[in-house]
Amino acid sequence: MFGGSTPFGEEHPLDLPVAAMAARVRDPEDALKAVDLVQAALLRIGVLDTGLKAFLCVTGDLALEQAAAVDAKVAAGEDPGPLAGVPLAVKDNLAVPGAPLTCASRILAGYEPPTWATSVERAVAAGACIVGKTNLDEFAMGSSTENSAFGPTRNPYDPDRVPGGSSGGSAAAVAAGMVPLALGSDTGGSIRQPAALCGIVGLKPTYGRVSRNGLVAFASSLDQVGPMARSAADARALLAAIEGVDAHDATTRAMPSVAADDAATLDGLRYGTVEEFLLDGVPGGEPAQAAVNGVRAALDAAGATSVPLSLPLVTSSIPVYYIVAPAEASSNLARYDGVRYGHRADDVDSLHGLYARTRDEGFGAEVKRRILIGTFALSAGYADAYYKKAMAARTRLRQQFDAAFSQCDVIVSATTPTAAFGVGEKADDPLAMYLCDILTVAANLAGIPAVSIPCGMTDDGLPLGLQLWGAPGSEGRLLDVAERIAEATGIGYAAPSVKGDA
Amino acid sequence: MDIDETLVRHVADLARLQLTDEEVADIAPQLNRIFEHVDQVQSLDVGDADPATQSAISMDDLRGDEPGDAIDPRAVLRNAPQHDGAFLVVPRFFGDAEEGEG
Repeated sequence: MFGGSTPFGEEHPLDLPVAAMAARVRDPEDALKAVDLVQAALLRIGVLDTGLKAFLCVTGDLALEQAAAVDAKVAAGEDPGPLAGVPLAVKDNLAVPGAPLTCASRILAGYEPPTWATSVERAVAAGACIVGKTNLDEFAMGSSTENSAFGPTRNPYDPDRVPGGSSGGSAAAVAAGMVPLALGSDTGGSIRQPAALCGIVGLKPTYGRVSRNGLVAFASSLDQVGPMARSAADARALLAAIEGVDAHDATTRAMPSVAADDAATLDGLRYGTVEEFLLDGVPGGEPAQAAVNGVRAALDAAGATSVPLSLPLVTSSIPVYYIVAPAEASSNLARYDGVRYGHRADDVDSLHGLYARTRDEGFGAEVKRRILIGTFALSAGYADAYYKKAMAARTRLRQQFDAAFSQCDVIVSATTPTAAFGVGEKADDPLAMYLCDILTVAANLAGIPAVSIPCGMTDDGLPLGLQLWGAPGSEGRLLDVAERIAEATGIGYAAPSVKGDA
Repeated sequence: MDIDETLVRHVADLARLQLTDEEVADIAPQLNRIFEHVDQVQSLDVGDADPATQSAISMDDLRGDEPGDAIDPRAVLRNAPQHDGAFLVVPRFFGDAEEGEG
């Protein structure tokens, strides 16, 4: 799609690496302006998104205004920042004033946030231009983007399949080439799993690296905002722009910046192979494990060594997660009651009735299910057996990861047990959907960073992801290793042949 | 774990969710299946580990209490379904027998 020469050169400027794209915008001698990039992105969205439905809202006027400001800075000899003119898609659980904030839920109908999410504001300060808000599972609860009140997003590699979730709109938008960068959020794998299923890079930062101010809270001890991009270098550029301590999120912590690629080599790298993450014998897990094994062979050939490890509590991470996340969600979602914002039930004459009817009308089935799981797990007589026990298991899990990272530099696994599944395939089986997260939730429970990178295709042409896990604060090294792996294997983002070329 | 429809209704009431009969009938077996799976949490060997506190915030983490720009209340009230001046409007709940717990 969009192949051939363009007025701006052989390669379409939207398909350039982010650093090169921004460098051209920052060069006053170059004919390419931020406005051109934004218009190109809006054109692609217009053509491609009728089929994919990655966007809930396109913010063309805002993007063009931001692009004009970038171009004006360049003309005035000022530096517009390292993301100058780069079109950015924002998951619709992050606040952008002037645009609706829906969380793909009817309960937030009509809501417009009065303030910026810090992560988005920082990306804009670095020169990025917000072209729209992307679809998600309602309140980020799901692994397929089918739980959106506004309908599912489609996978650009096969529109009959899901893009993953919950950041499925952001993943599809990047994979289809509509934008080079997107923001997602990851509570149990919601950046990494859709990145894997859409063949792109998605990184969940260390808990505390990126501010959640302006991110609609799902499970506050697990949520992180992170970058989605076509390459590790592009993801690094976005993460470098949004990371850092924020006075508006007291859980942020100072950590070494990811900005520099310190050129870590694969030679001498110790990579952990965790027994509990292997997919041998897992139904349908063969292609994903084979792809990971291919990368492991390349690592070995480049001088890296495999360190066999066991993390026994990983096998319990789904039950632990599905206590902790719904418990925190049931508390966080208590605020949606029809009083201060969003949907409000009509013709109710009691306050209790107003709350209960508003919430029944406003929330979708999966959100209700999780509120009930969480409310039950926290209710009198059960909180010690479920929530406190699950939180103690998290401490143990973190200890097991700490011990693992004393023996290896990174852990290598698949991101998902299988490639993208069909739309509707798991919709009626919540537990089957929860089990999709088996390879991702442990990073959130332990608060450690992990990145999914493309690692090949199935025979059906569906992307598979490889996941690199690191010790707290080691995102810089994870991205270095990701870049070295892409160089060594030649495997990376491969544009899909989306129907409806323009 | 046996989560019957009565328990689902009780939990839904705690969560201020007014479920339809159909929703209750759908959700009860789903919750049973989910709790059959998550129940293994109760038997996990976690040794002497304390509950995780990674999101715990100490006083040192809190920003100073300094005056600064605040959000314009009008921008906040614009989102309210019903308001009267600076006040949010809700159904009467004092002196209402049904709202005894409120």
